[in-house]
Amino acid sequence: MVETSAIPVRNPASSSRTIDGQAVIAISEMAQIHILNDVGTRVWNLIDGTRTVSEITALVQRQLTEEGYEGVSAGVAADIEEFFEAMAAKGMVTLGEGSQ
Amino acid sequence: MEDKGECGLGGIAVTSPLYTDLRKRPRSAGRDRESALRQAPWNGTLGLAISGVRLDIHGLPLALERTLSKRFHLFVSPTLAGAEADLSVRVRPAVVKGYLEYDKSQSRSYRLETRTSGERLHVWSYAFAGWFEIDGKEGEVSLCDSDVEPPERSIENFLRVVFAWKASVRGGFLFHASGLVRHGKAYLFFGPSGSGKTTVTRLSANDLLLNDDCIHITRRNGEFRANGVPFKGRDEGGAENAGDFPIAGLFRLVQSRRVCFEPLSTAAAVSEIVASIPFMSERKEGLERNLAVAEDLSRAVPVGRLQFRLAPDFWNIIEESLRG
Repeated sequence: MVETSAIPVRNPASSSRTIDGQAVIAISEMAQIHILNDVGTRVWNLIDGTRTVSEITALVQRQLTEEGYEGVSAGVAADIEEFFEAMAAKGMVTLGEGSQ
Repeated sequence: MEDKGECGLGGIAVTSPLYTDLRKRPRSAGRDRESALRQAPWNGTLGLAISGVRLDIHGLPLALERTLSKRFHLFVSPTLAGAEADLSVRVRPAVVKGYLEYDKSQSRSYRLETRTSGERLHVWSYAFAGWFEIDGKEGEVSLCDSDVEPPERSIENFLRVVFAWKASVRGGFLFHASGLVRHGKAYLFFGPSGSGKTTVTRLSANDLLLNDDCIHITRRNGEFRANGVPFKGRDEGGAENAGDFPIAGLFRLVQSRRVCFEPLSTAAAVSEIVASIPFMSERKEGLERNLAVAEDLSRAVPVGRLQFRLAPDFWNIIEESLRG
């Protein structure tokens, strides 16, 4: 379970490029490439080493609401937490301790 | 490319391994051969020019120089002496019998290791170890007198890694693909080992073969072009022409019972292309360059998955899809 106060940090060996709204992420040394969908890309692009999981989640929810996706926005928090867990398991991010 | 599962949000749609090894079983050099490395002096020189990338090799035993000149004949550059090469490689005799251990029982694929140290990339395998400056112009390779791999193969495998990096520095890349020229245009077929790259070339005997394993992609006056390289997937699979050709399309091979072409989104195409660029996963800046050039390429030419069976009828689908 991801702590919502955790601060995600991108793997420093990752290189990414957003192409038509999809992030393509290559990680040197791990020899892997990932493609993210629209929401995954929003999350990835908000990871700056200072924002917490809950702050990123709130920002994504606000973006979705502003763009008229209220229905999606309401249920996305749990998905984003699960997504962070998956990214951490794949070595795409580390989840550092944030202040409570 | 295999999809390896998705996670939350369907966020990770594709996970693919980057191409990391040569996947070619080393061939015994034979115990009764006369070693090219035992013949002094080591003062032969060979120049190679591969679509603008110039490699200069010094200190070759003369017998090996002759073998390599024949092997790479389309790319030998008689005018290289005195010119500015992208890399000048010094060849030396190794002081050990071998580097990586060759285990016959487990070696279904060729083992090759790389590691960066400062500005140098170190490369080693069964019978050679070397380094080169990624952004500089110097390199060195030591050759073992080995029963596992003949020295011309060792040189070729070292140069394959060198070339991948030098091509990238120049804005192109080495692509793990086979290539055929039909009506003046290059058709490139890619995918992991076993996907059918060589099979497609065998099913197209009347077309000009660029290479059955590696293609050099460059950009000239804004147009992406493909040319063969001297590095081979098999002895008879090398380039039949050293020229470059405009690219008609890139086809990710999937063996199937039916034949069809499915265009890829730009992001998916970039992912598939970058996964087929060998030896470049060591450094972040190399990957960044590859992502950028792969995006430009994907926007410039059609890229898709080609399901094909063991018959040349895939050409009808390709021609139809490119017309459409």
